Amino acid sequence: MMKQILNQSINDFVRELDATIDIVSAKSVPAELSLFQGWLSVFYNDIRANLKHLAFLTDLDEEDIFTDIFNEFSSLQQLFRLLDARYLPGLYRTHRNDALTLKLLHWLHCAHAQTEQKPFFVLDGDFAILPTVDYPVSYYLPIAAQQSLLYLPLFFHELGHYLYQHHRAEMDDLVREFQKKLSGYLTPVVRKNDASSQVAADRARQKVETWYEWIQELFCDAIGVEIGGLTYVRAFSYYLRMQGRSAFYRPEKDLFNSSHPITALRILFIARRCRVLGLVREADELEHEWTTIATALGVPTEYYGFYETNWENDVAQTLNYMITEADPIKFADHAGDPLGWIGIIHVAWQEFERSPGKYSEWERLALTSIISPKV
Amino acid sequence: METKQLAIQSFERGQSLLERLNKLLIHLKLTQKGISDQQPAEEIQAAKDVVKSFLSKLSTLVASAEQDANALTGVDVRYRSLVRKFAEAKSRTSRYRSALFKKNPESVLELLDSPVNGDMKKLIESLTEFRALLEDHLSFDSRELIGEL
Repeated sequence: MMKQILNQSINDFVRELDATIDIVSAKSVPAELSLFQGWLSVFYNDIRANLKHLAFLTDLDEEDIFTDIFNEFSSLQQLFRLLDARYLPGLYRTHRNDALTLKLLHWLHCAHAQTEQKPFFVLDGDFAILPTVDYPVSYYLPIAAQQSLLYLPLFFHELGHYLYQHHRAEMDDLVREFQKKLSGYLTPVVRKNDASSQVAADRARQKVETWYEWIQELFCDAIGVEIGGLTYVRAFSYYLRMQGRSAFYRPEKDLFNSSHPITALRILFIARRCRVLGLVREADELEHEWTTIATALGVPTEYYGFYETNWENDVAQTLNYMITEADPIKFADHAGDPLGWIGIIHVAWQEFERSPGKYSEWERLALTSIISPKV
Repeated sequence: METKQLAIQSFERGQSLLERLNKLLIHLKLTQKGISDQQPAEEIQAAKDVVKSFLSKLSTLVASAEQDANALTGVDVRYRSLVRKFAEAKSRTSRYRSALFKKNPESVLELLDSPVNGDMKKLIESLTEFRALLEDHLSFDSRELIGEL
């Protein structure tokens, strides 16, 4: 009976795969998605080859391995469904409004050796990335942002997550060293063997572990500043500064195992990197903006021991090492080119802040020249 | 790092390992019976290398996790969860009985290269139990990424 179930399921899976392979090959897509389309085609055919092997193993009629064939089938099916749910729509639902984002990401990927040959695609959602090494990279952005230049620099942060994965072994080593330093700061020198000491030790452990996720976010912000300079600073601040008190303060229980540091802490390290890169006035303005809002809201500066001022240099030094490892492009090398992405987005922010009422018209003309340039 | 981002990284890591575990288990069981699975020797060796590398890292992390106050450093929250599930499984002797859980991951590294027939049985038991633990762990990531019907 199990052999029959396996054979039926394999046949059904092959049918579904063949239909998908036809969809992928028949789809006409923008040039920026051609790597992604090629990857999908190869990957689906690999799954098909694996299924053929499972059919061979099933025909051996060895009951001892039926469970293993079931497990492998199940694993391939999960993979197929993941692609169906999260990857194939990037090809199947591609829309002419994706053009701006695809062009920016194509430039960004080509500008880095790590991503030059990396397939990618875009989908609707809040700004995010699924930064996988073996699969294509998926970028998400809100629908309204797809038609504007202003928030595109937030992708520089998202690229940082991929760069981390690309250099994962080295990055994890750097983060481990940093976490060990934190452990030294947070763990009591004399450990008593009572309940309250155990609780304190457990909280210290959780704080150290939480920093694995936090330092990666700070690293991605550093990547954002390195690539985008002022364009990243403006996009980041405008996008997040009005999100409410939680950008400045979160209750202690919400900080344990949280995925992101409090945004106000991120501002501290963004401003610090700006100063290192010569954007001193911009760093002062950024900090002034955020201090003004914090004062107006009356929110306390309280990190509950998840961050202490005397750690600042340790954090900054770790970020410097991580940036050296990732080696992103530098905004200063691109900002002077008025026709390059950094130059255009820089002008866009200037136009918006100078004359917000007239910005949409300016942007409409700028986008036309980017998406359909006159030859 | 967003939940879905962590889920896809965990899924990618786990899926690759599961594929190798399945391949090895089929290979070991058929080899015991003198049947060829028609897998190139280099693919089987590559599968062993991936499993060895994973178990070796896991061994270090589990040792750290077993000392209560020690933080698990250099790994993300999903990886930390897997390490702690592994450490917990070692005390659930009614369900996890193989050498992998009775002793430690290092012991299975030796079995992977052992030509002794009795060791192959122990290896199959260990890898089968590890696969079950890994599948339980990955079901969370699958639900996060794919959803349920």
